[in-house]
Amino acid sequence: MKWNMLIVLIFSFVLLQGGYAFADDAIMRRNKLIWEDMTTEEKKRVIQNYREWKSSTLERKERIRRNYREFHGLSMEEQQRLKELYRRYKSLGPAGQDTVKKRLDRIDSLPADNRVEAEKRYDRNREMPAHERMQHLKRSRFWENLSEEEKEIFKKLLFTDN
Amino acid sequence: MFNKKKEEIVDCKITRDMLPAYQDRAMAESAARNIEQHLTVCHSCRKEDVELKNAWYMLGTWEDCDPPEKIRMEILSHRAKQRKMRWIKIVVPVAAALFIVVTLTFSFKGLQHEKQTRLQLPAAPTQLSAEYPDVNEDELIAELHVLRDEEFYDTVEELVRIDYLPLIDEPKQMERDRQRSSLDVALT
Repeated sequence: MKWNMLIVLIFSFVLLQGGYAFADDAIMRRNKLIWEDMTTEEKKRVIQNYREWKSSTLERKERIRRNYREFHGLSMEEQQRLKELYRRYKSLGPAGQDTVKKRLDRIDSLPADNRVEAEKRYDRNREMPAHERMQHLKRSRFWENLSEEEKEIFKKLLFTDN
Repeated sequence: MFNKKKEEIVDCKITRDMLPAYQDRAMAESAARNIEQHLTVCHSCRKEDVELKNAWYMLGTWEDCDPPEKIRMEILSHRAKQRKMRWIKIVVPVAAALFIVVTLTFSFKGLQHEKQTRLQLPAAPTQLSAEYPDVNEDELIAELHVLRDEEFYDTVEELVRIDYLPLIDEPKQMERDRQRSSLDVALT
């Protein structure tokens, strides 16, 4: 029994290490192929990103890696929705993005209880059809408290019929 | 008839189990009387009783004697060997397991280190490094999956929080409904 456990432990350890090294190599090989297939323009853009990456802090690098992992853990539908949201967010321009960021700061100051409630509402909201979600949004206190200018910005960002 | 035979067998079994206690007088008087009665009628149990008494007597006549020195030494050395073997049986597998784990860890760390130094060393002059001397091609390729959409991945957390914004407060309608229903309950 003791020997069996020992063998299983050693075997799992070897497998884990091997799997880790193999996954690393697989990513490297796949990235190499992607790099070779890129156009010169794309390569220039990646090089620009690389320079920013090199000069950024460890925290930022770790945050980006974590976001990458979390994003790829989402369903295809959710991934597409986030990509679309990003496109809209980028189209707002710096002033619009600042307005959104100011509103986002409110979430950080939320008490823990409200945060849990908001998460429950978020889960319910995800299950609603798009038109119902929009009605929900228009009825929300958040919407009521926005200025006309802010409403225009959030319309662009959140209304799916845009 | 059959039941009587069965009772006798049970009596014999009980009596034989109780014989040592009976002979030591370590039992209740009534139980001892029952056994005595049974012994007067049962020949085989009486025989068992006598044999047991004889065995105790024989044991009493035995004398302790030391084994010959040669045999004693052999037994002791065998015992010592057994003790040593028991330690070896524990130590060898643990040492083997430790050795394997340490070797694998070091070889893995070595591989990782080699990989890292390969990344840090100036890469062989390729077209890319000739054109962009500050770019380490291996490092760039290792992070390419992130670098392709670096800005997007940097924003993902914010994008998810944007979805939460309208949900921080409960919708007004729902709040009003809830208030009304609690009022109804209070009135009833």
